[in-house]
Amino acid sequence: MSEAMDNKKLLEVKDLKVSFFTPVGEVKAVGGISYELNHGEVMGIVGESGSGKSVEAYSIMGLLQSPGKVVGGSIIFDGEDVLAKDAKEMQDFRGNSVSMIFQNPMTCLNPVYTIGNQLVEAVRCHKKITKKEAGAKAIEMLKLVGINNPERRMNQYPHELSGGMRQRVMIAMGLICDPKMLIADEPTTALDVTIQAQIIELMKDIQRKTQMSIIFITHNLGVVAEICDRVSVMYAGKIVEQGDVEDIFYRPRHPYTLGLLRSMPRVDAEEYERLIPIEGTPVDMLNPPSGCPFGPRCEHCMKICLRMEPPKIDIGNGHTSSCWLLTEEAKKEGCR
Amino acid sequence: MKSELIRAENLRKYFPIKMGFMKYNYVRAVEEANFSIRKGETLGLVGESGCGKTTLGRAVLRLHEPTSGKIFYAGKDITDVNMMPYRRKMQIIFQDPSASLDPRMTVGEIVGEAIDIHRLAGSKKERSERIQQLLTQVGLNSEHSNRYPHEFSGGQQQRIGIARALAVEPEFIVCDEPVSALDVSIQSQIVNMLEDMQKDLELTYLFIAHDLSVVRHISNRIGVMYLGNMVELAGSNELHKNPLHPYTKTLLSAVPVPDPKVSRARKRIILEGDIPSPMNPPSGCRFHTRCPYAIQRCKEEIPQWRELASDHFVACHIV
Repeated sequence: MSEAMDNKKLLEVKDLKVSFFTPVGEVKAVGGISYELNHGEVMGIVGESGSGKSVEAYSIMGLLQSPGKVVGGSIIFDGEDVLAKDAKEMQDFRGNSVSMIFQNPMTCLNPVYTIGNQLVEAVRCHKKITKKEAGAKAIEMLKLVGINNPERRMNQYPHELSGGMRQRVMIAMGLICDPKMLIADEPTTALDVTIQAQIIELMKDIQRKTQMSIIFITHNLGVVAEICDRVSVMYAGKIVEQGDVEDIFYRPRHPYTLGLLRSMPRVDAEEYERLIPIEGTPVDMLNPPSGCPFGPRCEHCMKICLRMEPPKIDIGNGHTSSCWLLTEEAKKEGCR
Repeated sequence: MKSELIRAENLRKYFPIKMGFMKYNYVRAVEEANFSIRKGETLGLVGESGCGKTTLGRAVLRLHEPTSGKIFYAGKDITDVNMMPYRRKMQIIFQDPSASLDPRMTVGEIVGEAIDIHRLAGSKKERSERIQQLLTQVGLNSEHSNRYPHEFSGGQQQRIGIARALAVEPEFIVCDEPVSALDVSIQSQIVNMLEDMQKDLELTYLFIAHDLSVVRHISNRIGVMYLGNMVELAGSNELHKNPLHPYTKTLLSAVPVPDPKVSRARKRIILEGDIPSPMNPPSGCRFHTRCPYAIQRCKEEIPQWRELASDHFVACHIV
């Protein structure tokens, strides 16, 4: 990726645990995940709904809402402990250091203020500059995200823009304070394919220009293949596999990753092939299975999988997978 | 070639919008659609949101009364007839499984309602046996019939929706984005089930989705829609290998492929701008405002729907 800062860590998440304390019991939405993100790197977090990928991002941003709570682990961003920050420091941290764009741009923009108003507010919350300077900065950002006629757009309201345009405004707002890292939570899911292609090209372009780090949360493996350098695959609140994008797509070592890849139809398929689905239903997070969370749906499930949680196995080149199949114990225990 | 089951001729659906006293504007949701669906095949319908694919699917079932044009079912004109007997033959599966199931009815009641309306069961015993059989057929347990929809996951709810559609033993099913609301790992389960059902029950599908990968996988032929117009219709492989309409090409190139080398190496066509409003569509070819190859003629003249190769229809001036 970037030349000089190749080995420099920007973000280190260690054994992060997030729980929701609901009336019917504790839901361990994120059950101890660890990863690192380097400067200028794009990390994809893939998982199905309920896998904890958004919750994890919200906890980095300090946006977790009650009854959600970080119950363990640490988040170190650029040498600072994010979880130790108080509300005021967090306010400073958001926007200046890290910013986030969300899935649905319509619900994230305020309908009663103009685009310009909201962009200017975003800068002036974080930087001591005049309204005029902020306005100029806002127009510059709108240009950067490919909005034509930005001066006119500044005076328009969110409802006057199309979905793709709104997402561009959201990106502009996220980037306006020059953050070091951007968290994009399903930024293209609500958009049509042709607009999705536009936004992905835009994000790739901006990433190339600014060398910013991006955490890209999505359930779409196609989008991941397109934009990410590294990928973490999440299932039931755990990262089950992590590695370079090529390792994950061409040499997956976790049955869940493999299952996801096999179950997706491809538009460029040469001929008809029947899909191989992952059987069963997603985990009920209130009553997660003991042992490996994927165990009950896994075609290679062994006795040990249902009893004990698999360890994280290092395969090399930063590729890790949490699966008993990769261990010596598995061979000793014998299958099933 | 198999006989055709459904044919639509110049099918058109406008929705009126009140603009003031006695003044109306129209959302031109579907414009002059001409196509046929053969017995036992799956016709896929793709396009972006607002292109009219759902409206077209519903117009075929006359859930929306067409503004003009004709619909034929097995050769009979059904545009103006009582639909009751045809409802038994034509069914629909909806996109949002939780919204399309009555939360206050049990699964048994939901599936059984169709059986009651069409008087398909002679006795109570026969009825409950049929419900159990349907539930097993879609991969649910027979004891699920006493539960309510909210007790099920999204994938299971979609299975209930499918069981309800199957209850009347239809010949034709409109699948309106049946897997879009589901998780990736569940999507393939439902897609495979729909394929198996088609084989076992000799069903004909109109499969509507915005996900081109799924449509390509399940369909024999694919129709591409843009802003209310069908722009291209061809066999699934033919459309993929030899797309003619610029919009089809764009759409194919925009679909992300889950393969890093392939997706980074290929050249994609990025369209400028957004879909125009169907209330005030552009003149001539509706795609000309975003088309990279547009010429003067495209602005002035509506392109003809013509058969360029055998079974490959397209509406474009420049191909």
